[in-house]
Amino acid sequence: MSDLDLGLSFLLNQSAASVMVIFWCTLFLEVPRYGFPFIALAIAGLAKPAKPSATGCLFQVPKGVSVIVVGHNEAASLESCVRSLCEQSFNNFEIVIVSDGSSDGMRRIATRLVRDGLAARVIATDLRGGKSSALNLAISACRSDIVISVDCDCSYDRFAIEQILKIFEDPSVGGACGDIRARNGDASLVARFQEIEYLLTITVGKLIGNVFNQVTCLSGAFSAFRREALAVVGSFQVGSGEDLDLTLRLRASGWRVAYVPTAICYTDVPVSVAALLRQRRRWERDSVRLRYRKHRDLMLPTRGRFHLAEAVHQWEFLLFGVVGAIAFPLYLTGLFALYDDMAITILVAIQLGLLVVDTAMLVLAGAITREPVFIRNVTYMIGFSLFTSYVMRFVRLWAYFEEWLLFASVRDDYVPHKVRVIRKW
Amino acid sequence: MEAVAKRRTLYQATAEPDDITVHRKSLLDQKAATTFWRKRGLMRPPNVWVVPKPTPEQSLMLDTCFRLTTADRADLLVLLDEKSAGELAGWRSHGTSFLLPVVDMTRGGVHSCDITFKANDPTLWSEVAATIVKFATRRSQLTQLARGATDLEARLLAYLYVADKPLIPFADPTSQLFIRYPGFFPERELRGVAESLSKRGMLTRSFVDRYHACAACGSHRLNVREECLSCRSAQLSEVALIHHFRCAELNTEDAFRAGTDLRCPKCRQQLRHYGSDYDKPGSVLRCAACHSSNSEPAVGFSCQDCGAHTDGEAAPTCDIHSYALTAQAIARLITPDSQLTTPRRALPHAVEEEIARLSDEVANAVAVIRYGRRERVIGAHGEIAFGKLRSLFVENLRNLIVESGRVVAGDEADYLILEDTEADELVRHGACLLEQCEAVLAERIGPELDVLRIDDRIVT
Repeated sequence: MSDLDLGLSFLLNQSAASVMVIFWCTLFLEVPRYGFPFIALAIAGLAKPAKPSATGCLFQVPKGVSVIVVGHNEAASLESCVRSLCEQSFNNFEIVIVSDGSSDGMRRIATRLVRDGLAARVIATDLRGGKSSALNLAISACRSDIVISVDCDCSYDRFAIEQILKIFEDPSVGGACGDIRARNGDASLVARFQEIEYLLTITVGKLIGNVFNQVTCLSGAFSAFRREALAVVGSFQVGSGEDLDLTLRLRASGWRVAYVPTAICYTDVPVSVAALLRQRRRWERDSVRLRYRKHRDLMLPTRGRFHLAEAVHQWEFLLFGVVGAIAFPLYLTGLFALYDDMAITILVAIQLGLLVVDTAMLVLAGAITREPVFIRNVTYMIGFSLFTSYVMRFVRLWAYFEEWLLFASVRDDYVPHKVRVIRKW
Repeated sequence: MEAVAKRRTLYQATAEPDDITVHRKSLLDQKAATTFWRKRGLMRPPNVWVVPKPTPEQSLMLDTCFRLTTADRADLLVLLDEKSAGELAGWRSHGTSFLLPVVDMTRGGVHSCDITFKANDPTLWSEVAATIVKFATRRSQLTQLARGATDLEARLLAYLYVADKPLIPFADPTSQLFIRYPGFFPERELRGVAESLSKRGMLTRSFVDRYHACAACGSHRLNVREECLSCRSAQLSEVALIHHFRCAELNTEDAFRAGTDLRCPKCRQQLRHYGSDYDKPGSVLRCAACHSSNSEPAVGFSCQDCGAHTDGEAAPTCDIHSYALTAQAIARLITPDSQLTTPRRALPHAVEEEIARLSDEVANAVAVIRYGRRERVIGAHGEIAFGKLRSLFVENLRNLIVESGRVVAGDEADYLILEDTEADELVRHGACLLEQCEAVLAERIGPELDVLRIDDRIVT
């Protein structure tokens, strides 16, 4: 009898209780998370968003629109970003550039862009103060009702701004973000995995979250804000993860936060494993710090800021993100202790199941984007599934450990030291 | 010695005794002056014509050193007052007085003059005498045609030869162009004439300076100033930025200022400890008119003559050159029976060369391309932007006709030369050709085709 036959025979002869014991981690921490999108689809009867195009008649913007481009040492990418913005179908907006203590000539390039008429103004500081303060400076320098924040290293679909502005016809919307796609998926295998990840977690994930008012992070790469909402919550606050922080505060203040799938932003993702790990550790540390230190009262019924909609995403992240990451090594240890050689067979079976679900999600992403993303990425799905399960899960665990026990975000050089040491959270 | 003797003879031949002296003379002083001039190589005091008409006191002083006479009998022109430079220029625009040296006897000094004179300075007596002799000598070397020149081109060439010096501009705040050329020629026309002569090989030119000009009136008297990018106000002031670390507020100092306190406008916390609570990461320019902030100001020009405002990027520029006679021009000026200036060409030299390079058997169609929307585009976006659009247009045209012709870029216009093409054919299809090349431009520049017939190419 071959190993395959032996493994199949083992799995097929398990009772229901045994299946629960063998697959508890997947059944309780993976299936609900993956199953949720499909249930949501069934409930919401999600319509396919059309490919982005001109809206024909844009809503009346009361006092105009400002696009703020903030960066530190972004000389290399600033011009292409601004030119991409100038190519927008809707271009009745001013571009305000803030150079946050750059030393690479960003100020000079920004000045040239202003002289060429591509940007309205540039404000450059001599000392770096961090992204939050630079964003706040940019916001104070423009007086428009809608402020769109973009990253220097991004470029934009021609209809991105026109599309994202439409959502502000609804006066309850305080902020909105667009779809973020990886621009350099061909650069390396890791970049390709991230392209797939962005499709699954942003293109599909945020679209579903939007249906249930569960968009919890307006990405710093491309988000729009109502100025009034920014004033209410005090704009950006100190520290990294400023986009998540602002989104949580906007939601807590009662503003609706929306996702606009047809407003597409393209960004370069890290191409090396080391760079990716650095980025993800920072993101996860910020998530833990912001969600469970700064904004923990959103999830506790005994606190004044408690709100059910906020508690849902806080607990969801805690259960499926944090607990899932902590449980996985325990699960692996238990599996090998109990089932010895059969553990490999069980893990293969689990991985096959997850692969099917991931592939189904990719099909969904293809249907939503109406682009050949499935054909382009399907051959990488096995690698993506393994990478997500056995690399990224441990990276998350590492980040949670660093932050919860070692307060690592205090040492994060994403913001300058003078700001880090004084940060409240 | 022989040359000096010859010059004296020449001078004696042209100098006539004055019979219209209007003031009494001191015989003693006159005799002394005559002696002074003789010592410096002149047989008698120079005949001078004075602008403006001298007062009796001025006449008395002048009559001591010179003999006052009329313009047509003068050896020298004397300028007594800077304000009368225009009057002098008017006199020199007709007759032969443009070949006489002009002596500066004004208070402030006028650079346009050929020489300065003060009665108490013996060196200047010598210089005036030498100048008179030099002018007379060189005047006599000119052909009859050059001496009697009536058009500005020929008069300028003759003057430069007689004065024996290049035409070098000097700064003059009283001029709308901020510079003036010597010789008392009409200010507005002189530069164009010199450029034209330069293109035809009669003058060489050297770059002196570049001026920005008012887009409305062409004046170079502009106030250059830093302006607000938003509203173009010059009311800018530099204000410090303050960064409050705790709440990430980064704003101008006036937003934080509450009397002597610094209070964060976002969290209302008082800022006390520099480096710990806050720092000042830089400064911005704040416009008092529209209250916008910017790190970089715009540069703008305000015309001091007509008051018009021109953006720094849109202001046209004007290159100022100095000019000197070429050997060809000198030969034409002094060789009897030679034509003074070359025929004015309808086509630039480069175009003529290109046509000549093509085979004679092949019919060539030549057309001038002018840009009808030139002024409008320059007014809206500046000369640089127009230059870029025009270059792109010419490049498109070159690519389109690469197999069948050439495009030669000119100053005011560009030139299209098509081989094996009849002029009528170019007239029929030219508009379509231009439209195709213009279609891809961000802004229309209005190219217009003027097809030349063979006879049009050379205009004398």
